[in-house]
Amino acid sequence: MDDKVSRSEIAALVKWAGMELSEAQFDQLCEAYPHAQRMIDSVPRDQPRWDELANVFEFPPEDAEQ
Amino acid sequence: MTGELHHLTIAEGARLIGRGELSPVEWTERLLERIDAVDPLLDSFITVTGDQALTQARRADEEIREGNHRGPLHGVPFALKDVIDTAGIRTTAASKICVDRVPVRDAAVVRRLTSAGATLLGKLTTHEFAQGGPSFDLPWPPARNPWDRRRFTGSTSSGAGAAVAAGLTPAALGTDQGGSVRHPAAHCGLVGLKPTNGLVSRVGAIPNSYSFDCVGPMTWTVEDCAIVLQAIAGHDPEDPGSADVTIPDYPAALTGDVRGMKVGLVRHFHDSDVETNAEVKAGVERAAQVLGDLGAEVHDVRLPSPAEFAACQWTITCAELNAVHEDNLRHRLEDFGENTRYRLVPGAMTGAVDYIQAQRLRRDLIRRIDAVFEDVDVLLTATVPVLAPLIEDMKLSSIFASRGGMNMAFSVGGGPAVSVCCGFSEEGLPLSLQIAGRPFDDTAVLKLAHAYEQATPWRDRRPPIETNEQIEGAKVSHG
Repeated sequence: MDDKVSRSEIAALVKWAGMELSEAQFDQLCEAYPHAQRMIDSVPRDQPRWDELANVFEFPPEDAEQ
Repeated sequence: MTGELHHLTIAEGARLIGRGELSPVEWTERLLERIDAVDPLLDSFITVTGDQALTQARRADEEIREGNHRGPLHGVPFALKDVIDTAGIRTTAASKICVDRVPVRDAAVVRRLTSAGATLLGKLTTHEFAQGGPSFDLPWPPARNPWDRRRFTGSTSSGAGAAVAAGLTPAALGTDQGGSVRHPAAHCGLVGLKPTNGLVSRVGAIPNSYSFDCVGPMTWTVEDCAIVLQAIAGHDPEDPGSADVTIPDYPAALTGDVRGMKVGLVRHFHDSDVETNAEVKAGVERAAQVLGDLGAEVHDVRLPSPAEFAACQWTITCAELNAVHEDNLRHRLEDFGENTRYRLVPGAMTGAVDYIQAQRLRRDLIRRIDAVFEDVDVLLTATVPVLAPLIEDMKLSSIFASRGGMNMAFSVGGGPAVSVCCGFSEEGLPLSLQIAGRPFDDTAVLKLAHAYEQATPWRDRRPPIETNEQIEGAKVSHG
């Protein structure tokens, strides 16, 4: 397991998420979590503060006119 | 009609029906026989709706004989990934959690297909809740790839990929939130379209990721894909993500003439960003050459890396999945398969800020894709960088691999993307090409895909599933 997050920290996250895991499930989470964390950590945090969420699509002008 | 009736395309079958040379009942009966004989080898169906299919086919027969021919899908058999609701027919998501779930209402896409006169053959297996990979701890076994039954079909419309390739149905609907139509289309050697987000209603499709979910056709040919898209596309006020746009005539756009189309080859995806099988690379390069020979103007373009798309798509999907499954994660965790838990449980740790940052990244990535589309009409990539792996070689952690970013690029972008077969490896496994377009320009990707398909021989080759020995062996083993 990646040593960036300890088992006790993962246990706290499980509690925060409202789940109850068996020992085997917890062991598996400890194996999987670093993979998930790597994905999440690769989302940049340095975007300009005015950058908004991608909640909607911008329609092509020809469709917007119809 | 006998012989290769099970390999009829929609367009071929519709022409025969129109001329009175094939009845919907005959076609449906033949496919039900084939499902009975071949599916024990593939495990692509969860539920076969034989009686209902024959009832629908008889009704189609009568209507057509009476001169009420509704169009190219009248009397045409199809099947559905089992996350798409069917009234009175169980819709399970291949999960123990939904094993007895019987919807009271058809999904919007089902209503559209049945209105067009199509005949439902049954419900196709999927990875649980359209997540994860092949699992052996679900109520149903994973589908097998008809090109080599030891191999993966691709995620997650797995039954749809296997069934269309094996000639069990000429069409299926899958769902795609990060490649789940295109990936099995690629590994099973067929056509799979992720339409523009908002073009096809999601009402009645079990949600997976609100930001990315799409319902899309999986067929043997591009023409068939266009016919199915024509029937299912259109505004649905019940779907908050549905777009009220004019629906073009997709089949009419398949002229074969792509002279002057501007094609951006995203070579860096397979050349440097993602470790890519040499035969896959060669297939994409040959396809670009074919398109150039057809008169398209092909040149290299650059997109953000697949890893960026994957991180964005993965983070958003995990958070949304947790919202979909929160109650079951808290109270029925044991009832999920191991493969699903492996993804869902860490995803439940995704924080609100992680989700928001990923949504902000998405807008940035969309902007960067849009900038590339200022100079080209369509983009070209491999659909998947690898050949279909052996199921026994697949690891749980493979769901975190960023190689899926080739598909996810266009899930994040929201525009259309189609996977088409672009040849075969030395060992006979399909190679695939992804063609992506601007949002709501699904016509362009289908047009280019069709021209490519017409210029190449790949549609003449079917999976080697149907030796008599295999079929007889399957019959014996199932009594």
